[in-house]
Amino acid sequence: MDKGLPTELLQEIFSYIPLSKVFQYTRLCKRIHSCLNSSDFARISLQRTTLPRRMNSVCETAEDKLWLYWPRECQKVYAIDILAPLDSLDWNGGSIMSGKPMPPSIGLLIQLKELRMAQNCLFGPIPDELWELAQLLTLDLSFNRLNCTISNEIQNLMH
Amino acid sequence: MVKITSSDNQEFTISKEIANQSVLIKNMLEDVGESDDQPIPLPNVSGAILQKVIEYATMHKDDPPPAPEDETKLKTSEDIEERDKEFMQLDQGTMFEIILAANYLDMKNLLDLGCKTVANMIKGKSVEEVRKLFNIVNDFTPEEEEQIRKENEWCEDR
Repeated sequence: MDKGLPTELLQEIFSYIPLSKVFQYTRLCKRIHSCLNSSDFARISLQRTTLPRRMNSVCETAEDKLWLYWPRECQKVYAIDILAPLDSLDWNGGSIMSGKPMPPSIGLLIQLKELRMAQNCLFGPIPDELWELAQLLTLDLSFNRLNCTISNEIQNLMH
Repeated sequence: MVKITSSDNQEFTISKEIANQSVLIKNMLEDVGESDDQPIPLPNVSGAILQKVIEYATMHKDDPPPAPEDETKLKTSEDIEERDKEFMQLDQGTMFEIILAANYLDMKNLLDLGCKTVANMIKGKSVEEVRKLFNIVNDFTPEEEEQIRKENEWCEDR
């Protein structure tokens, strides 16, 4: 399978496996690893396995819960294709992101005015990209395990 | 009737409605027009595989045209018809060749069927089981593999 089929057919096959399961197969071999860690794969797979988001659905969906666990390329596609049109996200107290850092692709959600991610066990530093969200008015990151200093970039957010 | 020849020079005569299930052949027929009775060469498909593909196309020749895609419904690999399941009871080599042929001949239904069938063989299996099933050689070093395993631990079946 890994030798005989071209990349797009391997991606086609793996796109039928739910996004909550498929990335365990990235360690099958190098070829499949690179097939699955690509934005093309993320796109086909998201189309196939996720329903269109209801407009203004600010609360977490099953996919949001997985977002921070996906490989970087897939996070980016999800941010651009699914989350970017939203101007508000309320993930307070969600169990979405236990022990995971915030992904840099948070900076792609350029419409966001309101971002609530309190009580999520967020971990590690806050990515600089967050401070690029120029529309952001409300940010709640309380009760997480972030370790960081609030950098000077926060000034970008103050109008 | 339409004549096609395989990579190993086997000639098949099929009806137009069967030929038209392949977008590749359909387009070729439109290009050359009705009058030409030269066989169409298909250099990427062997006779044995073409035989199977024709069998599939014959089985589906009376299917109604596909319904427009419903955006509110997810595509899944669980909706395979019984007769298609039986058709795909093949050895792995033949199965992958049929997928390649369907891709080359541009036969969407057969390609979807092939991909869904393989996906169903993978689903629910551990990485080690999938490697064994498809003879996939692990070309990672133990350290590399362990790192990737850790990154994706969240989606392993527990």
